[in-house]
Amino acid sequence: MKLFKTMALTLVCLLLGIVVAWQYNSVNANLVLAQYEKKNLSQLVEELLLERENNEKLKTRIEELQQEVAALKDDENMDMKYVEDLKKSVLMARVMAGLETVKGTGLVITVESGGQIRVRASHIQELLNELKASDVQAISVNDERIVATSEVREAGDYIMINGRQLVPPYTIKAIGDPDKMERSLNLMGGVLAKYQVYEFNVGLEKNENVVIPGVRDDGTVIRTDKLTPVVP
Amino acid sequence: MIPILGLIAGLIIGIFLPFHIPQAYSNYAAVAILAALDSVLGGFSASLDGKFHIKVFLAGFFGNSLLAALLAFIGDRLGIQLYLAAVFAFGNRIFINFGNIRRKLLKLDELR
Repeated sequence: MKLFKTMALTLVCLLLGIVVAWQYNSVNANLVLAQYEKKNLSQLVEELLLERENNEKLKTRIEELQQEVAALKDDENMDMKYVEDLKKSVLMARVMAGLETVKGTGLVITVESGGQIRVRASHIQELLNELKASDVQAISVNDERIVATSEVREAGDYIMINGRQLVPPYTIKAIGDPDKMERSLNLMGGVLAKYQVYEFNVGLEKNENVVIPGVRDDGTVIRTDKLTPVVP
Repeated sequence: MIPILGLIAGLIIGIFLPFHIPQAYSNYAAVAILAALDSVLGGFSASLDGKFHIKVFLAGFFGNSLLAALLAFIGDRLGIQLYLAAVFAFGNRIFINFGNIRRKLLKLDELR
């Protein structure tokens, strides 16, 4: 019985010891925790303020950058437009110079000797001159484009245009007002009347879609090496 | 002597067990510990008197602890610091019991 009592007392003491130790631990831990939490709270408030400030700064930075992006986009658009305009004006200049293949309504005239008289350069020249007088916009002879510096001259049995020998039949394509051109060609005592006298076989055809190739651009027809632009 | 060894063993076990009482129950546990301490001292005193009853002792130990904790809990709920009553009562009794123990031990020495 004595042993039993001692054992009971010992067990109770053991239990008491455990609980006391737990309590001690928990008080310590809670103290530390409370301190930590308190410290953290003030720190967190500070950090929060700091982060808010940062946030504001970053927001303004974002706005700045967005404005920059918008400005750059505007610039890019301007540049694109500028490039487009440049491309257009370059194309127009090339069309004016006769470097581009063009199409439009006009006349297709074929001239061939009737056997009596050879078609000479002067005949073609006369025809071209008449066409030019009636506001033609683009001419080619056997697909050889007539530009400002194109020569039309005799070379034995052939005609030379742009340094190329052309053989009959000659096909003259002209873009312009077809009726006007036809009228001026058919004038009494005009070019076609002369051709009739020479007994040339002449074909005259109005066409909605005359295609005239550009002059060859290898520096043999249009030369600019002696030219210096004088800008006023 | 053996109960004191038990107490020390309990302290060591408690410290090394990875558990601690949540802060919310810390107060109640403290009052319960006070009650338990009183019960143990009472038991020791009674055993020196030769009037130690194991059932009374165990009932007192657990009953007092629970009652003290309950009292503290109710006090918290009602807004009265009832745990002070437990602290006062058990503190008082601890000293009374300790006085008894002291007297008995000293008398025993005298008898020798």
